[in-house]
Amino acid sequence: MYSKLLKYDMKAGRRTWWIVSIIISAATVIAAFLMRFCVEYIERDNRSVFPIYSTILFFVAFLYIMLIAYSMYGLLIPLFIRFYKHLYTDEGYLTFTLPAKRSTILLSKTVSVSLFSLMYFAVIAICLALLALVVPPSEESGQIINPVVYETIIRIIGDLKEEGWLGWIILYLVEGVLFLAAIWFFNLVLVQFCITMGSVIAKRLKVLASLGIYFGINTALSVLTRLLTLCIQIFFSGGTIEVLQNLSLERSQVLLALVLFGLIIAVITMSLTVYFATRNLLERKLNLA
Amino acid sequence: MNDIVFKCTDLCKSYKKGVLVLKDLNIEFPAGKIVGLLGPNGCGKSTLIKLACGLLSADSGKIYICGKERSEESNSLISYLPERTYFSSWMKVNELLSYFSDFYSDFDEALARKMLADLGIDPDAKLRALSKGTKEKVQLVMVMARRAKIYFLDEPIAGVDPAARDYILQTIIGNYNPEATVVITTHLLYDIEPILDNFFFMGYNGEIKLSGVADEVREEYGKSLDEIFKEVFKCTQNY
Repeated sequence: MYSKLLKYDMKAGRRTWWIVSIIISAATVIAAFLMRFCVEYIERDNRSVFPIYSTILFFVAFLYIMLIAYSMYGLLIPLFIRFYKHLYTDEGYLTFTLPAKRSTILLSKTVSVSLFSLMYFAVIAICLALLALVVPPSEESGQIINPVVYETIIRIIGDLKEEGWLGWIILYLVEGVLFLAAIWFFNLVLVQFCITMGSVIAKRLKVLASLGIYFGINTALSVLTRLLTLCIQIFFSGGTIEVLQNLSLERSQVLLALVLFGLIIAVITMSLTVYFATRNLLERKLNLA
Repeated sequence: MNDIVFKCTDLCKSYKKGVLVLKDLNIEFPAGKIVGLLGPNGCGKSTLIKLACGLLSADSGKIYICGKERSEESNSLISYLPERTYFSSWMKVNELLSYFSDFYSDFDEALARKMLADLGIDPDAKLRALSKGTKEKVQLVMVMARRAKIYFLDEPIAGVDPAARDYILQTIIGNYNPEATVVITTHLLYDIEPILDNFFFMGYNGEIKLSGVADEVREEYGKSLDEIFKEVFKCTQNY
């Protein structure tokens, strides 16, 4: 039953994902060639056009970054609207009369939105890789692709390997990516929780209630984060910082890796807590009147 | 056939602000019958149906579907027609047919296609493009094309014109699984009465005022169920 639910959830969201992906891809192609054009003109050291092309370059880059940043809303908002409609409006009459457990229905929705997010970030990565290939101007005229960025990265990797840092850098990068993925997942399940909570406690104005709960929780998390930061600052203001500074390089590397790992585990734990809270609300508290 | 397909014992349900809808309701629906669950607006008919389908959680009491306590597995035995349209607007009719085929092993797709063709509904049409009446007909087709053990039809003829009512009733009679039970909730008894085998008159708080085999009660009272209904719910100040 889970695979069937997932199939239809993916079908329902694929149109949104395609639209966002096509927009990002088209914007990347346009931005890549515009920026390349500007950079080439600037490199020719033509002082009379430098202000114009540097301004154009800045705005193209700015608009492109804004588009990438807000495109995730273009993907997620329709998906969450569909989550709400499919479970907590009239469509819920069909969903909850399927021969499927509510926990399975929730799992399917969580996995589908996670998969769409993964595919979205894959598109972003490909687009940024394309930018890195096209924007740097080539020494040979007419050559569109310039692998200078990748050659630089490979050279840096070689240097790191010689200095014995490569393994640690890869570990930190992996942990960093996992940490960001965990934060992203936490936000996904938090939104689902807020939508569910809003629908359970409010019979009218469910959307407003969900938004209120979301902002309330985020405010609470911000306050907690600031308190935690303050505690860390107090902790490190004493002799602790001197102890850390006297640590050997190997121990510092291990400590950093452990701190990152601890953060990942903490965020994953929070995510699972929120997910199971949503599941509990769905199974025990939801009444579709 | 004396099997009981639906049974509830001491069922209680209230909404917020202390609004008691069902109080200690005990009711059984036999297999293979068309059962009318009849009563005035707000007496708890739809609430009982929704409890049976798992859309609401009871405050107390038990519900049994085909002898087993109600669970998500019971949904495979129940075909439910709500009083509102519940389809996802992004789907086409064809996709809806696939959806029902995927989730319900008892769904007869060939029968559904035949019924849609009889109605002149294009299988490639998008659900969002259909009129309200056509959507309701599509919904009815999907529900009746299943070979379920029990059909719950919540106000299937409310708000439709007389011609559409006749069509709906003919569809119900002509296409449901004869071994199954059809439970129809309505306050429009006059149109439903000719097809009923059994009936329950439900009053306020889910109180069963009168129940029995339709033919027997008509003979006993010498009146139609519609007339008996008006008398039963006229005589009491609070239903």
